Amino acid sequence: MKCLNEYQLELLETDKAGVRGYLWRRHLDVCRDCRDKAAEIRENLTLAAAVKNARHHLGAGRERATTSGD
Amino acid sequence: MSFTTRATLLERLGQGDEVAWADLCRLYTPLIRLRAGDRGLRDAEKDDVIQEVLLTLFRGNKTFRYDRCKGRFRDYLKKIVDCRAFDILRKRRPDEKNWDTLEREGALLSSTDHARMEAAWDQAWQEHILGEALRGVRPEVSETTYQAFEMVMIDAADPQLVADTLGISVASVYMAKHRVLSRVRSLVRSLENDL
Repeated sequence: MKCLNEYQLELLETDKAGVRGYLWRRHLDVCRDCRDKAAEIRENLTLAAAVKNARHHLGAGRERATTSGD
Repeated sequence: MSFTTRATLLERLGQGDEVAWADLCRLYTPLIRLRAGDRGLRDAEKDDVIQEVLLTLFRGNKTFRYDRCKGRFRDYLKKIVDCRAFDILRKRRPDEKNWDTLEREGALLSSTDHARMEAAWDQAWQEHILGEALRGVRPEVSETTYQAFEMVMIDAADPQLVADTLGISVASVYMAKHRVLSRVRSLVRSLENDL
């Protein structure tokens, strides 16, 4: 089986992989690279939550940057 | 603007770099305004504080010389804003100085308010760092990668819709999202150390 990509790993991390997750998890158990990548995805998802909370602020910043031609 | 550390920015300011001055204004005006508001200043007074604080940073004023060994830049900035805000409050007419007036105008005075003010400052600071990290990462990735990230994370668009819009696969959307997040994480870490 090929190594897992970010999409598959995120679905696994967020428990949204459904039945497909069974095979992916088996691969994860035997592949160190994918386990490392899964750890990174986990950390990214923590940051993603912070980005979501700051979405309003970041979106406003983007509008300011766009209008000022920055 | 390329990604710069605050230490670099302060160094450039010390050398009279005008771009650094513009960066300084853009970066810190919203934070200073927030803190000044929590200290109960009126809009015109907030503008005065903003100007004074930025000038203090620009001049590397002896009273407030930033020494990295002595603490984080965020605390240093907070201290300057507080001092300038209290200067202004002290100069108010006696009838404007009482607690009722201050509280009515939004000053956070009780211990609960203090915790709220510190939490608001921390949150504003985190958002500031996040915004800076995103600005820093943007030129480092392709336009499509950043667009995919922005649509999914900032606009909260459905990944399938983003994939269709950008003409890429859903897997590529997730790859873009995580590529940017990984880089942002690293920049946030370095900014937190720097600040």
